[in-house]
Amino acid sequence: MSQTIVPRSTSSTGPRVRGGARRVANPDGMWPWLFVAPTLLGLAVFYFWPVIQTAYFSFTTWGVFGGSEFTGLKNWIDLLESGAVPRALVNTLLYTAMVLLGIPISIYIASLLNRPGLRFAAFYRVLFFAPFVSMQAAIALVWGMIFNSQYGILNQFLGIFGIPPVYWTSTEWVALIAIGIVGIWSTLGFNIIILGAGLRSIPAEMYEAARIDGASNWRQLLSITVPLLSPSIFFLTVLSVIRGMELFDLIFIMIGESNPIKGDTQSMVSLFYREAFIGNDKGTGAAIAILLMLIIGLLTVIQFWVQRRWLSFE
Amino acid sequence: MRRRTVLTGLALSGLAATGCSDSGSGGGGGGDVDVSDTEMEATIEFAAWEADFDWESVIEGFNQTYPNITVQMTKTPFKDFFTRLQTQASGDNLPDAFMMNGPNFQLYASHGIIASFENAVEAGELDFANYPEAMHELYTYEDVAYGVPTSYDSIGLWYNEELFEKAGVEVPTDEWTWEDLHEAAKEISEALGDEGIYGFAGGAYNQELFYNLIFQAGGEVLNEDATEARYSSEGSRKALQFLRDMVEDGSSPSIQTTADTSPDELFKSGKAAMVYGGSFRVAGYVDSAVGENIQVVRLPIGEQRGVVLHGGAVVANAESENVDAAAAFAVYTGSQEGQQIIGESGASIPAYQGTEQAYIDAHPEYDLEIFPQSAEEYGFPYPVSANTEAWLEVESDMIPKILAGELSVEEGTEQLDEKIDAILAEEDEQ
Repeated sequence: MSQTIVPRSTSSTGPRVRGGARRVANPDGMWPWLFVAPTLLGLAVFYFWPVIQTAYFSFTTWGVFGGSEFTGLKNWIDLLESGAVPRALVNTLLYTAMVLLGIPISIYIASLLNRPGLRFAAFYRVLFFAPFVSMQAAIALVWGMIFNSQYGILNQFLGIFGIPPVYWTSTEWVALIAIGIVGIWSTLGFNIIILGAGLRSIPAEMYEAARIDGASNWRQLLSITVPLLSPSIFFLTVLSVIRGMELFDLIFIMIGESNPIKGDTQSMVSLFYREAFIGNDKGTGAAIAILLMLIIGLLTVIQFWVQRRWLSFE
Repeated sequence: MRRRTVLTGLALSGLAATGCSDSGSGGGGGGDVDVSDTEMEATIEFAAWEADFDWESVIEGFNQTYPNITVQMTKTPFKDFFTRLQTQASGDNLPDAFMMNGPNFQLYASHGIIASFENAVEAGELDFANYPEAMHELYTYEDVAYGVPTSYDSIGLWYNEELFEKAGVEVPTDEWTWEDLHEAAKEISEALGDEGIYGFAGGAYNQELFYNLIFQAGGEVLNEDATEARYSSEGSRKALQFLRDMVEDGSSPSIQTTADTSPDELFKSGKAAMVYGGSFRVAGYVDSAVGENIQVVRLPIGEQRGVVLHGGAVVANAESENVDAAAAFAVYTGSQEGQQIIGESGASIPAYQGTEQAYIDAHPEYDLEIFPQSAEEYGFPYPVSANTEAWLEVESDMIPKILAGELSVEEGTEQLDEKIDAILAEEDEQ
């Protein structure tokens, strides 16, 4: 049963469950390598090599029209001195934390959708999934209208309760919350699909037995659903953190020109964009990209380390 | 401001400088364009951003003079245009002739990527006396002309007659001063504030708003040779303080409001009685809900009159095998004949003086002649340096903060100058 609740996509955690029996010397020689060679080659050429190149570029200074020279740690020192990175990092981490909040919300919605006998379940699933397949830029535009301080539907609604208009996208920190709300909303659909698949592999008898023992719905959620979903949840936290750290489109579109908080509301990726493409400083851009990669790598390693302590396969 | 007399001597030293400063691919900038041979044979690629210009007719007209040059045009949306151009330049793959704008011009001129037109000027094929002086300065780098002006934008004070009548305020005239503007804006905001209507929609645009005010107050954005920022000059501070006062007493909406809804949107939806708007806004305004109630006058007078001018130009790739043909095409787009065709599309004011009538006639209900008139009489060139985009980003971070009152004008402009000076110093090293 343990394997059946592991979604395919987390199968990387699978072999550990089956133990070390596979660790015998490979009797097939080089054949397996030959079969994976096309993929490995693609990865090497299109992923690893650019990463290595980018790492090298972060130590060079580029002319606007190409041509570079090695300048050692100059870009890195400039970056540390500019003071823009700490703020961008804080913004990005806060956004990532908010997107992670989407996972408990998704668990709740997914279990509601998974209730036996729910009518139009497929329809709801489509509704929740629609934002995920929409373009981020389009989402940002529509939410920008919703958040508009003067004419936005959100402030109109709050006005009914006598709440004065909030400048959602032009107040420091508040803008980050607004962007976080959009971030949660747009990833909800994907989370629900993954969790829904996990939920359907939990046998109904377990809930039946729990009910006979007098467990409330809430108790069932905490003691059966969440532990048995933990592989899917782990998969989603890893993905959400990576996606959250890559925040760009929402900021780029929702925090427009002429916005007094524009300089304070940059993410790591938008900072990269500004340095590399607006400021024409490709070397510093490369340094930011490498820094971001290291941070994401570190966060992912931490998660894999922590998951050993809480992940359940039983 | 006329420098023609010294041009010949300076052209040589300028060229030498551009040759040295080119650290990237390729050699120095070419200066020897010769457009005199109308029988030359070539196929050239011309890259333009998407706009309402009737380039096909321009090319047709060009082929009547140069029948053996085939012009192939590629169009790219404006927002991708310069990213694409830079990639092409890095890969030595630039089109033979292409459009250029102010903020990017010096980058290309200083790296010797685009061809000098000095020979065409000397031969009399290109005469900058035909264009507004500000356009000449914009497309001149180290006293050498590298671009042929295509069209330009000028700014005016647009107002909504209906809202003025409703508030019982006299409508603006060409002779208005800053004080008149402020007074009227305040009165209207007070009278119609309950309906969410503002007297003036300010915001934080540079070309359409505060650059004009800075020049009118006798201030500067950059010093003469673009090595230092001058936001903390007395006039610049005065201009920013004026805008900030308007926001603080409610004559103009808060900067947060205009961050959500742009000034021209407020004006178009009848929520603002006045706005500083470019000549390029006409098409949008005429189709808006207020299209029938609006009119335009010259910008109000500060210490002096002033309007910032910006516009596009056609340039030739210095490395092109067909640089003469490309230059011939560029020169034609700026000739009286070519400019006439460009003006007829009504999208923008053609740069050649005397051809603007088509733009004015396109919307006789508005007094559009004030745009070319003010440009001619007191146009200031849009401020640029070798890497304008880099410091524009800093400007657009800081100015809204200053106008919103988060930083004092003194402190804000000092920080702004300091940050931009650092970027300008870096430009110099490149």
